[in-house]
Amino acid sequence: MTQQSDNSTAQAQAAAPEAPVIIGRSLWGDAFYRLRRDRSAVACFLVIMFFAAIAILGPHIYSNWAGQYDYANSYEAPSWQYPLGTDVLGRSVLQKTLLAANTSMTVGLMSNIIAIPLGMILGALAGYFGGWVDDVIVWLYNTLLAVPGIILLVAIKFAFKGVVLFKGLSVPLFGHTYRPLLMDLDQGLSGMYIALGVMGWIGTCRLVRAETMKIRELDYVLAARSVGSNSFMILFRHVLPNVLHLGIIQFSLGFIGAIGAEVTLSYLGLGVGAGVPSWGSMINEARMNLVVGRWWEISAAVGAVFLLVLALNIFGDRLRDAFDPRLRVA
Amino acid sequence: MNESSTLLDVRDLKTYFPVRGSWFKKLHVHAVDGVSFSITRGQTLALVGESGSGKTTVGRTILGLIPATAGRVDFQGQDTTAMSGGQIRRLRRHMTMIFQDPFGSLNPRMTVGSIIAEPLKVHHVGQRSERRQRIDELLRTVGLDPRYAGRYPHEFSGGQRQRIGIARALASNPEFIVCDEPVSALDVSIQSQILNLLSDLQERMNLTYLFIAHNLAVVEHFAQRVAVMYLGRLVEVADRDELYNDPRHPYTEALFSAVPEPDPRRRHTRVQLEGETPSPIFPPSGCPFHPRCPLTRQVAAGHTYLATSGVSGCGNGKTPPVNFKPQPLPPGLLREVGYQGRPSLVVAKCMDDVPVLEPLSSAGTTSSHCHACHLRR
Repeated sequence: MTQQSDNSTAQAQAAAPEAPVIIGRSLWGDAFYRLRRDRSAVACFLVIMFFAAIAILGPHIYSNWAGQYDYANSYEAPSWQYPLGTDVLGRSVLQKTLLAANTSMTVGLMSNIIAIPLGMILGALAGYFGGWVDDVIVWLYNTLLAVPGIILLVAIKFAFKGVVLFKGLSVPLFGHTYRPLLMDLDQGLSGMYIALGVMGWIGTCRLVRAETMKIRELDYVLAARSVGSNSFMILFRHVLPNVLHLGIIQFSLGFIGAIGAEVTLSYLGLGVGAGVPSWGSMINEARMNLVVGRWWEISAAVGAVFLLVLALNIFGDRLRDAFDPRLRVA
Repeated sequence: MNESSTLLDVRDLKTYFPVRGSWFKKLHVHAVDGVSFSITRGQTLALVGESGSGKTTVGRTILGLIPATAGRVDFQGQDTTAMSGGQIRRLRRHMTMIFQDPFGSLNPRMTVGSIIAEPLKVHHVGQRSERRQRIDELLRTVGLDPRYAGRYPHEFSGGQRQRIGIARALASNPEFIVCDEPVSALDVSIQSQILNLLSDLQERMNLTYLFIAHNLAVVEHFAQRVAVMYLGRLVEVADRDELYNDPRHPYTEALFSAVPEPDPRRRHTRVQLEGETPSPIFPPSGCPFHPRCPLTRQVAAGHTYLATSGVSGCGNGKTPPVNFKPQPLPPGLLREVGYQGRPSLVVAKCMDDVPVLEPLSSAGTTSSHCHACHLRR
């Protein structure tokens, strides 16, 4: 120890000012390094990316698929022409399943874009300031939690029925344009993003609040105060960077919740509008057909949901492992 | 000590923390309960005492990190307890802090460079390039390679991290630094390096330290003046050599006798205190040390010489005259208290009057030696 420190002193005196600066590896770098080495995490990430790619490409085949009406072919069993059979209108179930990925990904993304920042900011404020700020925020989410989830979702969705978020949004991406299909087909769906967002921030808020209460008492926050930082600087320079990983983990897990909620709502007929391809509405339409032996539509939808949710779940777990500071090698 | 050379003057400082009491009666932890001292510019005052005695709270209250309940803290002649939040924040350019835990006091997500630059950013010192230069300079000052500015705290050892903490404390060119047990979390070999660094810096930059510690060997090496704390109060303040050679307060004696003796042949007389530190929520009446004080029991039992039966004014109270005969004190001066389940006699004055920290009056000692014991007056 002694020698090492002596060496550094000697080096310090010898080092020329123009010597190259040694760049350390941040905790972020550490976490991503660990994530990259984790095979199941990489595999799950590839599955998620696969669904994302389908979601991006989906709108290109939509108009083709939507015009495929062929009543003579309704409920065809899987064949070479239709690998997963056809639905009641004689359209390819495979294409429908792939198109529905766009719906799910859009709902997951949009609701989490609302939920995660909301949860993080409110959680950090509640945890850092405590007192009446904490009381108000905790009261707010406890009140929301006291209302049965599905009823609240439906209520908020209808309350925001007229609101349209991101109308005609299109994002240029790798030479293609990502157009959320839903936004063209069912503008009332903005209410669902808001509803899922309003429901989804609570978990993040609780986690971030608890972590912030812990961080607030740490010496580096006191050190920041002792050199003259105010609460705003401490929140943005010391607290939020140290809870950001929770937001990332919650994003991947919140995705699952949002996809699940969309499937449930669409199954109940309260979700996406008629004509919008969605795994939930596919299951809803197909449930009567299962008894007469038409298994393909429900299988395709359930299989797709299963694969995506499983991948997101494992990936979320691996993220948590990678980011957990207690597992960090010093 | 003339007035102009006093950098920091603390008068009757009190810091209470509210704790959950009943609805009708609010309870408080009396963490700091009437502490007064002053520090001369360029000197080091060490604050020693066992854990829970309020040392750290004193340091943090002086910096305004914890609001003072009462009393005043004059820094460069200005009362900091009366300042607004913004004024205090600006003042923190001139008074900073070094922390005990080198692992917890550095934000793990910031590079060393940005940790050190934080005080500069907060106080809007210099441009980007000037700050960069200053970081290099500071890293070199504390004995680290400036090229490490882009690294993260977890890539350093404990001693190196403590150097980073020191660099941060130095960044804004302060005059006064509270060192809150800066070496107690480090290996012994590293401790001396950090202490040497701190005293070099003190010499070079004319820094003033409040050095909070519980390691008396470190304090002897480092401080010019030593203050001993017990249960939120100062029991003795003196120049280092004076205190180490001639401790007056029975608590100081007990504290010093707990220092391990490196020489195995030397006989070590240990004053063993009984019982535990009383709760700072319900501090004892009178002298805070009376429930555990061996002296007051000895005096009450008549085993120890006191010059006058009136209990006060007994010279140094340590060396009895040749013709001394142990005699019990008159019962009117005694109190019976329950002590660990059995009755025990203590001197009434110790239970009734809160002792004041007063200079020694006897001849042959300097007046800078103050203590707060009724019996050794």
